[in-house]
Amino acid sequence: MRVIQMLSTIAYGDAVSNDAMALETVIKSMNYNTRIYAESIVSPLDKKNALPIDQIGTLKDDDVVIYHFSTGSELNFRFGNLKCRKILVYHNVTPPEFFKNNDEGFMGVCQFGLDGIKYLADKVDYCIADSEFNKQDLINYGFKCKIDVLPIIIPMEDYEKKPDKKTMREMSDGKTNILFTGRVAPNKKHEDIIAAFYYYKRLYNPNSRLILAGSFKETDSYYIRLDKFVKRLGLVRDEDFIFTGHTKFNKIIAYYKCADAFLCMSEHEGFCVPVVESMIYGVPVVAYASTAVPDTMGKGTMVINDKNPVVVAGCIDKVMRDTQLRNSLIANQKERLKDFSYDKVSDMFKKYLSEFLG
Amino acid sequence: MDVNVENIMQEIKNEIKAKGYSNDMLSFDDIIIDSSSMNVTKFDKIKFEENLYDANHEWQVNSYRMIQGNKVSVFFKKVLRKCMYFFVDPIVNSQNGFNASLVRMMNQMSCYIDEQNKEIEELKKRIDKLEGK
Repeated sequence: MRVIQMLSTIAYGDAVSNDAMALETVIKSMNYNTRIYAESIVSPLDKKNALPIDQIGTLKDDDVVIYHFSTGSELNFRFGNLKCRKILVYHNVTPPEFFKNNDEGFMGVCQFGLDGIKYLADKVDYCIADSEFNKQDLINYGFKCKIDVLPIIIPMEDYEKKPDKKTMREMSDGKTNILFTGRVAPNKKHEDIIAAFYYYKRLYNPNSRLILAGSFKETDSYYIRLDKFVKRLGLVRDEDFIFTGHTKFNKIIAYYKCADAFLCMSEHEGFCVPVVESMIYGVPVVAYASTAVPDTMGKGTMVINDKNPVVVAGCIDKVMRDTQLRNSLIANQKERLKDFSYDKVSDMFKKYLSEFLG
Repeated sequence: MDVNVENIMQEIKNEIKAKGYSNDMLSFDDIIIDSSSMNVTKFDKIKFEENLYDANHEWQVNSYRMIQGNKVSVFFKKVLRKCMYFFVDPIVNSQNGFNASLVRMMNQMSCYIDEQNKEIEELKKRIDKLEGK
């Protein structure tokens, strides 16, 4: 019997890919014959990490395919028709409407994703959802099979790696660093982060910097609009704010280590790994209450229901100035972090998989 | 530890009101770009011809640049250019080869569209004739 994983694209730094690779380690520890298969394997990852989907071979009835669902792909439909036992790991699909006015082409991909998840509603044996929000999503799409919630598995020791020294030096120049990490995409609402930062800098702290760490394409309409927006606001690139683009992991670590606060204004997240990363580094998070974010953040954390940039700026200032509040937030985040410990989540996964296999 | 976000938010809002801060910035919705050239949803023969014209005139890229600056920087830049030549030139040539193939292909496509349009017109005429219109 094989317990294999399938996903559309496996890429370095991608949360879904990281989850698949971490689960592979757990499956191996259970002594199952396992591999990851992907439609597209993006360099620097190679056949050591995953094999092309056409090398999957013949599947037997008792084989188990764990499929990571996160986007529109033909593979979503192929998975539904496999003759084996099927587990769906649902990471959610970004609603197409976020890409209206930004990327009409990607709107189609997201819509294809929604068509795919609806198609799979009666074709899988068991589901794992990253969050309660994702579980509810599956129920709304008509899934009747058993659904368990399993947070994204995060190998915590990866975050103990040494930060990039040059970045540490550059970011430790006395400025207050407000950080957001995540690819530049309309659902992440970078414009709301920029707007809040604009007021924070103008009204509360001129000696501050916004770090937007995440990949983008120069030709992406949303990025071009953001670039115009910051220029119109008079913010100076590399001085007031940084768009890092796709960056190395040790640089990301450096940004977290130098961050004074993490600001998340995202309006669609299936889990939101960056807030957990902030918890790891003891960075207080101010996050907008949307989709899976409140669930991931947990109790006693700065989850806000207001998007008025002046109010959000006030929140950042409060978190920066009120030492007692800051310490309480960091302590509560640390407490929440225990729920995402590698051992805890991997044990949950082992239990779920064992129960499924019977 | 207990953190009452609602109370904190109220406190912040009261403070903002007292200080007279307000949101007067421009809206992100007002930032519009002309994405029509990138996001194509409908065939436009005129735009196609315009883009094809540009592609036919701009397909070739050149690694050679006039060097500017003071005498010292010009000297170092020239040395660097010489040193990098073996690396840059083959890439530029490959890119030009690829660009040329694409432009040739698009020119073929343009001919194909014209031929097909002619053929469709002929067929339409024949259908009309057969239907007695």
